[in-house]
Amino acid sequence: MPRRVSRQDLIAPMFWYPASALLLAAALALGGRAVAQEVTADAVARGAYLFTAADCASCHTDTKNAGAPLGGGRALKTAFGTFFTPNISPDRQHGIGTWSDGQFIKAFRKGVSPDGRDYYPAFPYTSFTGMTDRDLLDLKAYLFSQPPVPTANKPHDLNFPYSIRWALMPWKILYFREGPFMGDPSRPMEWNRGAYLVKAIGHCGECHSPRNSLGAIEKTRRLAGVWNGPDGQSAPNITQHPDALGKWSTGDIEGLLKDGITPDGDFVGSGMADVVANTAKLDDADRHAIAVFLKALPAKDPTPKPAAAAR
Amino acid sequence: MQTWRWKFSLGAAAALAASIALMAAVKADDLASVVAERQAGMKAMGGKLKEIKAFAESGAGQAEASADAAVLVATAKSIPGWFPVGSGLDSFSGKTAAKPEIWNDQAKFKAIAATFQADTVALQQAIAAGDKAGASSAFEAMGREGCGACHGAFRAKT
Repeated sequence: MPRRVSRQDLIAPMFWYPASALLLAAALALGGRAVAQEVTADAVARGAYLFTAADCASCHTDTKNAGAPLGGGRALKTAFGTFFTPNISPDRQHGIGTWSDGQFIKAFRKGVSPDGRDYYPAFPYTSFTGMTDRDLLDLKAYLFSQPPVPTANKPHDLNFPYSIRWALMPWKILYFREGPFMGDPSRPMEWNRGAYLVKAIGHCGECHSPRNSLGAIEKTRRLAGVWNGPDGQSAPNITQHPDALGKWSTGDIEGLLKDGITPDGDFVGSGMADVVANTAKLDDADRHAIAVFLKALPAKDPTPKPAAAAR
Repeated sequence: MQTWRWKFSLGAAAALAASIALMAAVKADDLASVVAERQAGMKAMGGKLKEIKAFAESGAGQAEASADAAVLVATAKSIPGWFPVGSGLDSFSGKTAAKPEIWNDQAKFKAIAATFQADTVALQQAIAAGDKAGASSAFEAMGREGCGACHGAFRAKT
């Protein structure tokens, strides 16, 4: 453990990670049963908070067609085709009701389903891989406390060649780096908390970054904005470029995350309005941590507008 | 006789077609100016909101905030009129982010507009009373139920 963060929430899981990994290995060796963690009311409450911070409902509830919460089925239109989000309610047939703790962690950490298939990165395990085991199990505790929804999953409708699922194996070798968020001990506690919220749980980069033709985030332009993001929508540059957040104060960023208002008096719309509905419910300290982390980002030029994007 | 009649109806049809084309052109022009007008209106409103927010946060500048709130109350009433049929992004691609849902779900659009109008009045009253905390919560409610709700559902831009 060469690096260490001072915050209790971050430290504890880091100490426990090797231990729980051992336990998991032992449990798997003993017939595929996973780590047992006692589900407490506290775990459910913490999970509810994480569920909000990760904005899970925006994708896993088909609000537009009055779908039941967590029932999935929301169409997510992308440049690669349309994804239909899965049911994440504890329904045993259609949802995740039969998942063990180990299977749940594996889905987020490795992007692998209980039946061993690789997930498309439309499920942002590329970010969630940074979540701690404890946070993941708290999230599971919350999801399992919700009513099951008997809605069957719809298959994705993807363009060729993205429809070839086994291609995700080489894709992961090229683009996916697994592992819980490690933090930077040379930075303040707030920065570390903000980094964890932005990079892992909040998965901000999944929408605010451009992707290459294979659907992987262009690293050099991470958080520098996108023109043709999910649902064909653009998302702005949120680095410290003077035309991005460079002139915003931490208070301005906190105000946006709380009330949806920009320093110009505009109110965010579209997908970001859904995000703000959730960030508004976070603790002040967490919104502040996000702002501190974003203010410490280096400036990047905005992603250039592709010729094909009409708006 | 027959020829005359034929020619006349042809001429009438041509005139009719020309006037329809002209009307359509004028209409498209009107719609383009509506788009420009509502964008200017929204921007102006943003400026007022900034000043009102400053009052809600600091309690200073009550007179200015009151004047702004009066403009806001009036503007809120004109917003539904800024969105005539045909002024959405399917007609003005790249110029506006007004989603077709505005016209496909008029009930929701009007409900949000009505809430927004009521919220601006509540905000105006709190400012008039010099009630900083009240203005702050009224501002927050207006932003969430009015501005944010409408932009979230009906604007194809973050």
